[in-house]
Amino acid sequence: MTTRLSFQTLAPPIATLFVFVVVVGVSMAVLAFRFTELQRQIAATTNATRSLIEISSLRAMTKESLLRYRLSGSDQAPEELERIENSRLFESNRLKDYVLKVESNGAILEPFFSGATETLQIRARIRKAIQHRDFATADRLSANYATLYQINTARLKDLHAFLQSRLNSSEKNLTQLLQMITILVLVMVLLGGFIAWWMARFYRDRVLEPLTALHRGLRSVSEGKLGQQVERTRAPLEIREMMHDFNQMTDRLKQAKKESTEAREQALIAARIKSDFLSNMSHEIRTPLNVIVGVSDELSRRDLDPQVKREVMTLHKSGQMLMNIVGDILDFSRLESGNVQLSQENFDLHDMLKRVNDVLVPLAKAKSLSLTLSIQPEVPREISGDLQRLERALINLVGNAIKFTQAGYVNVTCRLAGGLVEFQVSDSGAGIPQDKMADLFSRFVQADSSITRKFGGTGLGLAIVKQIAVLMNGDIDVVSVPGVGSTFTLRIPLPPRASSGPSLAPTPAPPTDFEHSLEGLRILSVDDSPDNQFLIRTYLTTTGAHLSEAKNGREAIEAATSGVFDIILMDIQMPEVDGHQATRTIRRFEKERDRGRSLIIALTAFALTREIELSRESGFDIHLTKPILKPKLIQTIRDLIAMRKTSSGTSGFASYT
Amino acid sequence: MSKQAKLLIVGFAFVGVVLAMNLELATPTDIRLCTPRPASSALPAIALERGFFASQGLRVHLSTEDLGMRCIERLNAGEVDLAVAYVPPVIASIRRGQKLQILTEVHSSNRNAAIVYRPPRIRGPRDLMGKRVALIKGTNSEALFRMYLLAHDIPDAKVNTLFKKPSEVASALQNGEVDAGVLWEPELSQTLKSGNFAALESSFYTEFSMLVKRPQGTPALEAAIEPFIRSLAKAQNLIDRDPERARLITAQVLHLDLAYLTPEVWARFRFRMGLSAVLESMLEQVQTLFDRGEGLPVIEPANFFEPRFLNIIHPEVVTYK
Repeated sequence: MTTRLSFQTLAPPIATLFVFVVVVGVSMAVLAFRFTELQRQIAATTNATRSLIEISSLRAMTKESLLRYRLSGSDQAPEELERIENSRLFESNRLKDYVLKVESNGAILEPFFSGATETLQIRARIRKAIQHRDFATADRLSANYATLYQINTARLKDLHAFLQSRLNSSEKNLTQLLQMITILVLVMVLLGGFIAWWMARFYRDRVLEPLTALHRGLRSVSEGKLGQQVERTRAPLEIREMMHDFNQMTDRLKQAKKESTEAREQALIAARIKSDFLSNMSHEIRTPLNVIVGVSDELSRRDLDPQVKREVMTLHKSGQMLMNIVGDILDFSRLESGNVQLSQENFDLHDMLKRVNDVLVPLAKAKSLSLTLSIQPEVPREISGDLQRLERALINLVGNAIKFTQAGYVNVTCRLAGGLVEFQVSDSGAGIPQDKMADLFSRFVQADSSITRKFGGTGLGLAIVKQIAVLMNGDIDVVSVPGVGSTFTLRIPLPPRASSGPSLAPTPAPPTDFEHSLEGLRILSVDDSPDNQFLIRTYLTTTGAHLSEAKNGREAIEAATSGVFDIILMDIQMPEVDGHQATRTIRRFEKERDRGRSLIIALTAFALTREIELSRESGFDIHLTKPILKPKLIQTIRDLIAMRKTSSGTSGFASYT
Repeated sequence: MSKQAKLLIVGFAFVGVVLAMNLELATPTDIRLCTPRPASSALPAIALERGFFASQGLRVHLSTEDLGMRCIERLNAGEVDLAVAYVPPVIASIRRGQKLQILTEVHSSNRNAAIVYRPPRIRGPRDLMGKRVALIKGTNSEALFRMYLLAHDIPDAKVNTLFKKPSEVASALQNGEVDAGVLWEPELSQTLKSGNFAALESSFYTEFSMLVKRPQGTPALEAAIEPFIRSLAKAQNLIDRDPERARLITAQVLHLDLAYLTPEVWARFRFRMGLSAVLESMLEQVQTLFDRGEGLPVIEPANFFEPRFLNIIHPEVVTYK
């Protein structure tokens, strides 16, 4: 980029100004010279005229002096004549000088001086004759002299006329010169105005307009029109270079945007693929897990040989752990993608905390740790928020503390601080080195890779907590002293419970007795997996419910349209007709025939948000994610039946994972 | 051809016809002019050669004579319309009753003539007394000599004057017939060049030649005077701008020998138009000098000046009043 103004830019104004200055300067110099010359001529002519007048006077004095001399014969006359002659000579020389200034060749003077010598000689002879008292000669010479005197008088007159003519001419020229100067000044003013106008036009067309175009281009770019191009007009080199660079810049921006868009599209595709993968994996993993966890849970409830029972319990525990890992991965995926909408439901915070505590007490006891829960009195009981996610965050935090504490305690404290509900989890664990603190809430990060080997886990627990805290407009921090312990503080804004909002959050107390709990209910179980059908059948065997089964959506539609069912447990992914289509068909049938509405429960391994939303749209009453343990299933069915009885026969939509 | 083009052609044709008619009607005015042969007649000679007369719508027929006196005679005889002549013949003609109008000076000079003598018998003015001097009667030659005598207080009677024809003065000097004689160019330079003669210069006398006409000419002539003088003014400008070229043109038109019309001789002439006080004075003094008791009336020269035309063209050169 050129940093100095180029010759091309500066040349027109400089050349114009130079020409203007030269024209003005030369014109004024010529006029000034001419003015001075005229003044000099006028002065010389005036002086010459004065000399002529003086000479005329001296001539008259000569004539008078000669006459006096002739009459008186005084001796004084020659001296007087001498003085007058000298004065005439002096004045004649001055006249010659002045006239030569007016007319350099002096031709005009020739007649005037031509008879000077002869007249001088005559005067001398006249004086001599008078001096010798030869008055006759003096009179004769005087008569001759009178003739010549007349001629010279005429010459003086002509010279005077010539000088007067020159004077008039010079004055006329001076007047014309002054007029010319006035006109020139006017012309210069007009020319200067024109030059100013031209330069303004030049800079408007060549500089300002290109710069304005550049500015418009920059504004367009700032408004997001990255491909904006500027037309390269007749601008100076610097501005053309700027335009060229600008166009190159916008070309590159356009290319970068294109690449960015492509990358984003690819990223979205990858995210969708990842999401689909996670969904599929979730489904594929959860389906057998559902059976493993469900069957092992059912077995563990039976009266078995202690050794066998311990083995079944181990199997059940491993299944639960595996289910937690899958849950972590799915949760994190959902949170990270931002594809999560918080629910607003009223719940009992104290109950929730106690429930979390109850869930984790066995883990703490297994490690001989003291797990205490302290709820400060000012903490409200009834609040509004996303119960499931808050519960998940607390379980993660406390579970983590138990996991990494070998001995001592884990204390959970809940209090109000600055309008926020503050959950503080302190432990007497190994603590976290300072250099690991920064990445503590990053995904897949644990303080030490040996931890993973030692304690297992996905490394997503704290990352999930962090995501939930941010999602709920809260925050989390940690204070840790290696070798002493750590304290995690989670602060969440939890408003008090809304007075008019219904509480949809079930707070099921784990049922302890399932016998005849679903007495008389007509239940249709739809699943293409014989194992799952077996599990459902096992769960419901002793509940008193009348269970029918269908292997796919088509059979489910046939059964639902030919018979009446209170509950339909519908799998989603099935051959021939899937759960969504079957549900939509059943809902349409019910509407057409004006039949009572069956309660249809989506019972599926699909756990992503969009799948839950899809279930709602298809007409499901609730979306339960596998694996489902017997207590939860039975409690859900009972809650749905109870809600139907208390409402008008329709229910809201809920999902439980 | 379009209608506009046809109209244009018709318009041009009309303008052409009108112009042709005007040219036909603008017939040049014929003017017969007589001038003396010397270079003093340079202004009309140059105006003729350069076409200044023609550009003013004049067709000038120039004829030359050895003496200006002869041109005055032809003017008075009606042979020419205008004449260029010197002071002595003009004043003599007027005193004899011929009505002439002096329109303008066309030349003046103080050094075009001199008294040539053969040394050593003559060394100064006073030596002229008792000597034979050749003059041309009634011309500048006689006027110059008489003014010279006046200036040096030499009575005319003390000098034996012999009147000769113009072509005889130089030869009379050469063959010793006279002791002195008044010569003008080119004979002056030719004679002095031999080395046997010397000159008494009398720059006091100023010779003038002037343009004269008879009063009450034809209307065409009267109308032609102003353009005639304008043409002379153009010739004067040419002499001022390019004197050398003017010299060559003058020599060509008046058939003068360039060997004698040298730049030095040419510089002795002043070609200025005007009606000056000096001209008036010269006319008066020459009248006095030539008054030999012939009973001719004394006239006022200014009464015969006709400044009307010059006042239109160059009023500043009319200074005699």
